[in-house]
Amino acid sequence: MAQEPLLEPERFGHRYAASGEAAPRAAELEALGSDYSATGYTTREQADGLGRLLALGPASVLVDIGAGCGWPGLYLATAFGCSVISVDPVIEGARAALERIDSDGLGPRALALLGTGEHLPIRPGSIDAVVHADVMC
Amino acid sequence: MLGASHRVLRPAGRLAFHTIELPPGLARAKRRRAISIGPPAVTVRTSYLGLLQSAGFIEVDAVDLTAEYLATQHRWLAATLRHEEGLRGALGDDAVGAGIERRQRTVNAIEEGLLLRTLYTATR
Repeated sequence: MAQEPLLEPERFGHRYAASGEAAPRAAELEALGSDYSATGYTTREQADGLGRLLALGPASVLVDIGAGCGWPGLYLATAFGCSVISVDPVIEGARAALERIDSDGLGPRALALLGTGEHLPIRPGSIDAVVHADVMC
Repeated sequence: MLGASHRVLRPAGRLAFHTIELPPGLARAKRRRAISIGPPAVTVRTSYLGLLQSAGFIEVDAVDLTAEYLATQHRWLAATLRHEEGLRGALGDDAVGAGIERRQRTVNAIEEGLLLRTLYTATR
């Protein structure tokens, strides 16, 4: 049976590149309550639940794997005050996340890296919490 | 990916993730249909509870979010149809047409019990 590749850079890259467009933003807001060019199923309410489950706060460092343009990691940094490393394998996603870090004023406590969940360029034992939303599916 | 997550976490650090998966014990034909509709890695055969424990995590827990997943798919479908013209302009006819079809098939599959969505949490 033919399967889609696990990474779909063309599909996601195209979507991320359209992140400033009005219709995708409106549809995402209605479906998830978010505005990060997210295409999955983690609602804003569920993202808040993740922040509480992970006990995020100003002293926490969070890694979001497969973060795309920053959902939910950059949102959690804004909502809970934690630091965040946003990791995505698609260049358009990482670039959009960097722009969002800049526009949201998260610069001192947020990074966006190009990378995969298998090869995290992060020092072992240095992170308080890891999150990913519908990446392993 | 779970192994890499375990490696970067400090002792007592926490992992939380959402994932879409197949219900255990699906008959072969239903399993084939679920795999054809679900996202690419939905074919994973081993339970995530076992994978997390194998990666060294403790305090592993799972919460079923399938009802919320179905509601979110319905909202995505309604929002996509409501903004279809603008989405076609932004993303292209092919992408939007395929997306609507995929979401409708996914709604049907969830309603048939072919796909689950789960929240997993674990501690290093």
